[in-house]
Amino acid sequence: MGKAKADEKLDFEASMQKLDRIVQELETPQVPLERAIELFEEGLKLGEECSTLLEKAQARVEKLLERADGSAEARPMDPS
Amino acid sequence: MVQPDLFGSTPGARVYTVTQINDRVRRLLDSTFGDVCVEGEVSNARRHASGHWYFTLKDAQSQLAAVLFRGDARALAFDPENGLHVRATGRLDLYPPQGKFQLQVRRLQPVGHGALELAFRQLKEKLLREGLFDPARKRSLPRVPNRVALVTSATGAAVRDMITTLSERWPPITIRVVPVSVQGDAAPAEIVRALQFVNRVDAADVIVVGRGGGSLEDLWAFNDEGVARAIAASRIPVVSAVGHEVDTTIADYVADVRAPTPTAAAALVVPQREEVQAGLSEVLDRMARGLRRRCDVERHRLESRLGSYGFRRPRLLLQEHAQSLDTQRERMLRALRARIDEARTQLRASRAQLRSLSPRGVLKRGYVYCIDMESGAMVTRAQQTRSSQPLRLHFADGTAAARVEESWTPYGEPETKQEEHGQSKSGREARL
Repeated sequence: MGKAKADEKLDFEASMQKLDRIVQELETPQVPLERAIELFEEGLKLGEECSTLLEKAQARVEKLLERADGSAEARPMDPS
Repeated sequence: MVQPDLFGSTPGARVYTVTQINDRVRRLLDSTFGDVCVEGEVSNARRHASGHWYFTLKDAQSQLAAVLFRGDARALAFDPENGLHVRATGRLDLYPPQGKFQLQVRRLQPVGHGALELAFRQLKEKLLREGLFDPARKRSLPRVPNRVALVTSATGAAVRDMITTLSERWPPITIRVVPVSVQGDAAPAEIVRALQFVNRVDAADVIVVGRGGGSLEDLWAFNDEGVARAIAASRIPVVSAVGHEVDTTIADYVADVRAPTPTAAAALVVPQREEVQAGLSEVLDRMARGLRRRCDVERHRLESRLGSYGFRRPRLLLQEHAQSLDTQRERMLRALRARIDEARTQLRASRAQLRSLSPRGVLKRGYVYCIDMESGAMVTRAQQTRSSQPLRLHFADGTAAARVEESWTPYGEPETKQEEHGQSKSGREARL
């Protein structure tokens, strides 16, 4: 069902949490320089991914119906 | 008038069996009163395992037994409870096994407040006692959900408003409308089923359940016990959004978050894109600052070490080496230049020497060389000549054609006698 589709998308919350962790680690004085650069690059990449997603994304609206066998069927829905 | 006899019995009087008289009274009650409405206070209320309710209606002076059978009790929104001031509608009846006179209640109406209001209060108290509203059991909403399920009517303003608000605030969202009736008898069961379905197929990260405004009766499905329990049982966090700000339902109490309206619910479950973008830039700035600070620390460490003796000394040595290297290079260059000059002088001398050896120099001194005009070969011996042979004589300043008169070779070595001035000597002839 639609779950797989949703999982293809960037998990925004997970990315934000990861970014938070990166910043925290970067702000620790003990972090070795090599690691700091690595973290920075990783964070930059994540941030850009999130930004791009936000710029391009468009909401998907669907009607979720329960089939007789209990499984789900998603149909596109006209939002108006 | 018949006189009683000695034993007190009345001759000719009708004798009833107990059953007969009870039955008689029962019919009399029914025919005399029919449906009655009795107002009083409920006391001694208890629910039997069969589902029937038994209680007593009383006022200051007296009481009346009452029974509410299961079928009628089920139609009642609230439960009879002690102290409740009610109007009970039903028929007066006599219960033969006990000979007890009672009111068979079919409808019960609270006095002073509505039945629904009462039912609401009762269910609220019940669920509260069970701990369903406990703040500790409330799930927190995801900060940024990927998917939102809207358990509501697929038509109407509420779902439209939610879709609009959700997609405007947070474009990456997937909205899943799970259509249900939101009023009427079928509504509670449909809402329960939808909540269970969304959980079973894991269709969303957060659920909004609700509807737009309406009368108390319109909103009643959200005060249903089954709906309340389905919300409590949901694994996925649930936001309730029923009616307007002033309408609070049982669903609101049991939901993880209560939103005053459907639109407010939509605004509550997703962040605003612009805010997140600002947050993102802030995070990236913090990262950059973090890295810069880290680099500064590193640079300071490096600089302080470079300034220390251990680093200064090799640097000084290096400078010395560099200096001596320069000197040596200078010296080498000078030597090289001298050698080149020397070579150039030698070359000049050699060239002068070479020039003096050239045939032109020899010719200038008066020598001539001679070419056989027919074969083009150089003639170096008189023996190579014959009479009338055409020759070309080469001088320093030009050539002259000549013809051999005669050959004469008195020296064993042949010698050529030439016609024009200048005899050929058997001297050296340099070839070019």
